[in-house]
Amino acid sequence: MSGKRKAVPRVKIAVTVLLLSAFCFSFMVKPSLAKTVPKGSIVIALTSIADEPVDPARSKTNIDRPITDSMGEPLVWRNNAGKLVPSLAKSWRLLPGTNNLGWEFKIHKGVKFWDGTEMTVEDVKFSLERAMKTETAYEGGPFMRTNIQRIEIVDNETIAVYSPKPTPWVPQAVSGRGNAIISKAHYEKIGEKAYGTVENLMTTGEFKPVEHSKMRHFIMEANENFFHPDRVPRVKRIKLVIVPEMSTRLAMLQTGEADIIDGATGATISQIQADPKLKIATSKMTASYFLTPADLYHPEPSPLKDKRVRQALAHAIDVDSIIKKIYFGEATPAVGMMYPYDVGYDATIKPWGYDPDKAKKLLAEAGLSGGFTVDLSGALTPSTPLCDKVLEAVAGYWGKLGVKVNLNILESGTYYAKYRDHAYRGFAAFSAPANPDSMVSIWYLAGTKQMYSFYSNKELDELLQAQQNELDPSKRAEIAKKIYQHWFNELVGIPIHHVNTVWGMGPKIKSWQTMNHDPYTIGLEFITPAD
Amino acid sequence: MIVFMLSRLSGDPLTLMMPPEAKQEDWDLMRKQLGLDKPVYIQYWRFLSGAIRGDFGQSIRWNRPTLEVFLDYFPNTLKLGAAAMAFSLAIGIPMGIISAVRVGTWVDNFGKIFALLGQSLPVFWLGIMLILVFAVQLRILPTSGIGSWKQLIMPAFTLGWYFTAAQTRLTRSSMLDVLDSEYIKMARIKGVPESRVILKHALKNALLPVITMAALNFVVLLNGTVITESIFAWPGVGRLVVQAIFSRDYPVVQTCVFIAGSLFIFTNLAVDVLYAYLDPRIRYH
Repeated sequence: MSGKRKAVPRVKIAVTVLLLSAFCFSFMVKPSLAKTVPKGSIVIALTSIADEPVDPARSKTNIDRPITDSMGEPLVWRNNAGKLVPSLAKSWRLLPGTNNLGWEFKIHKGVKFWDGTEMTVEDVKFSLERAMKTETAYEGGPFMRTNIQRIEIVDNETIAVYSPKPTPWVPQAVSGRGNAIISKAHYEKIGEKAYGTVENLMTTGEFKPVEHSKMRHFIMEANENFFHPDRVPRVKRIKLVIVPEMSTRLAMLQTGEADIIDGATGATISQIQADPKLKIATSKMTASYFLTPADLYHPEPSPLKDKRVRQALAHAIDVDSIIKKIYFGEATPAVGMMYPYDVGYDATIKPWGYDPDKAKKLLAEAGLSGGFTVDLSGALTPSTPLCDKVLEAVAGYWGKLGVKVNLNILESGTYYAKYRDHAYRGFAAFSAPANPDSMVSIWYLAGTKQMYSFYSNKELDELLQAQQNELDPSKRAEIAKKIYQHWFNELVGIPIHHVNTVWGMGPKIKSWQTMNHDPYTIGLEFITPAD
Repeated sequence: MIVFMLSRLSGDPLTLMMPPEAKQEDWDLMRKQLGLDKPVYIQYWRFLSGAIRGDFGQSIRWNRPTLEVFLDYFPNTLKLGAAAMAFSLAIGIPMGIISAVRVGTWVDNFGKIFALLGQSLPVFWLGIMLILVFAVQLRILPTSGIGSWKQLIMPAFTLGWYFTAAQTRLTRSSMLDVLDSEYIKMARIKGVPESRVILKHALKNALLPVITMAALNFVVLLNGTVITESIFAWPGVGRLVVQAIFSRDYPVVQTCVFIAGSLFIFTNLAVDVLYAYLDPRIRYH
């Protein structure tokens, strides 16, 4: 009997030890992530893809980003929230002892190109230098050349990027689609002339090109071995087709010939929403629309030089009605070039608000109760659709105030060429893209030929210059805040709205996490097909 | 000269290509790379001397010879144009004949209304309506694109609609003229069956102006495909030209306009020769 009593505690001890071991072991073993397996194929109908370059470094305009964003991956990536995050670079920092001229980028090891070869620091250096060359004609090339002087290999997982002067913009400079890292060995074997075709492109991108017929379609397939598991595409095959006419794209969505369409605006949005089989995807606040008082640039006297007049005209516009009637709610009243997600955003700044009585009072104070005549110029621009209707509405509101408007709407290429030449009088409308890093100095700093500003002020110019040189992000945010406050309080422009970009989606699409604040059809890896 | 100067009226292509942060040296370098740094008269000389040799230069946007770019898309426009012309002749001529033979009846009135509608309905409206009815509602035809014969039906109908009406009117008036001739009256007096009088004796002569106009209309049709190609996403020369104008791709615009103009001139010449061949009365003695 005593032997049986000794055996039970030993068994109990053994079982307890086993259980404890299993419990501890479970914490040591990482649970394996379920690997995304791309499935299905979809068709996306787009208004245009510009020149349709397959090689991201040949991108000359944002309109080609449905292709160029998908065909390669840079060191630094802008995520869905518009923030710069590590991608092929694990991290970056200012290098000590370089007078703030050097930036160190640590590169991921083990990332593979489509042909299975491993990406190295030589590929990184080569790709960035290629994107910087003027011969490559990459749209982001000038920005790179302004902010990057040279690139050096430090060791087999580190590169150093040196700028000509201390600047905070080096991570931005290496984040564009044209900075996609390509295989140097493959490029040197193929040559520049042959490179950049469907057959010869070699990057680490989340999609691979399959077929390309210009002005017809571009087909790409998911790279199931994309190095970032969260960004392996959910859809196996995507066909981009170019359909310039909106009503045709809508018809394609309704018949199922297209699964996603771009360019949904105004009444088209309500047509899509009225169909139970269809839905919309939105990227909020993708552009900022405002009216620049062009007379501020010119020496001649003008009623617009009186801030009370500018404020009166701001109060005369019923922005909420414009948003409701023209955009069917898919826009937000603006306070300027500043967005809620911008560095330096000041939440205390509120839109001027529709107040026609106050507008009349301000005009009377300025001695203009009898009204005056003003030019209002603008362009048809894809970044702010229906802006011609907005300008017609503004002309109507100002007309009620006794301000006679000469409305002039031009094609965008012609319009912006004249804008840069400061050829306009009265008001000139401007559509500015989303600006998460608040790099407004690029737009406003006086002194270069390509500047878009009609306003120059000593205080603002000093702030803009300071912002360009400040490396500390929190101090830069403070400067940006002051810039925005100055812009708003001095009515450097009359803000109207931030438009949302809307896509229509068919029943084959379960969901799409769009890239917020970006109007282009990108982030295709986040499209989830229906089961 | 006209083509060269007009294409430059659209503006500087660099304004669409250069980002806001580009410096003056970036602009100068790009201008030099594209050959736009030379004086206009040198650019014109280069264009002219190249055009004579069939070299229209390099597309600014696509970095390929413009003639190559044009020839990529011209067959599509030719296909669409040929289908539209075939449709307009197949419908327009019989309708014109019937209208002329039954002049003053409800058939004739229907033909006149058809002709009126054909020449007053806007192409863009017709195209979109066809898509809504046949693709969205009835689901019997695809909305757009190129590839299958079904995708050709609606764009060909849309493009050919205007010319169908024109053919109907021309055929009707030509038939009326011929049916009033002495030799037709003689044929009837001799007891020739009416169908033979119309189809064998009258139609041959009535078709003379119709065929020559059809040849001229074909070129006009080829040059007027912009709206139809945009609505139906048909990748032809019309869309190519519009895209080139918006992107300030002068060499492509120059090439397309040059070839379109040349086509018109040669077609006119060919029609004159054809007319002389078809109608012995106007041959040069």
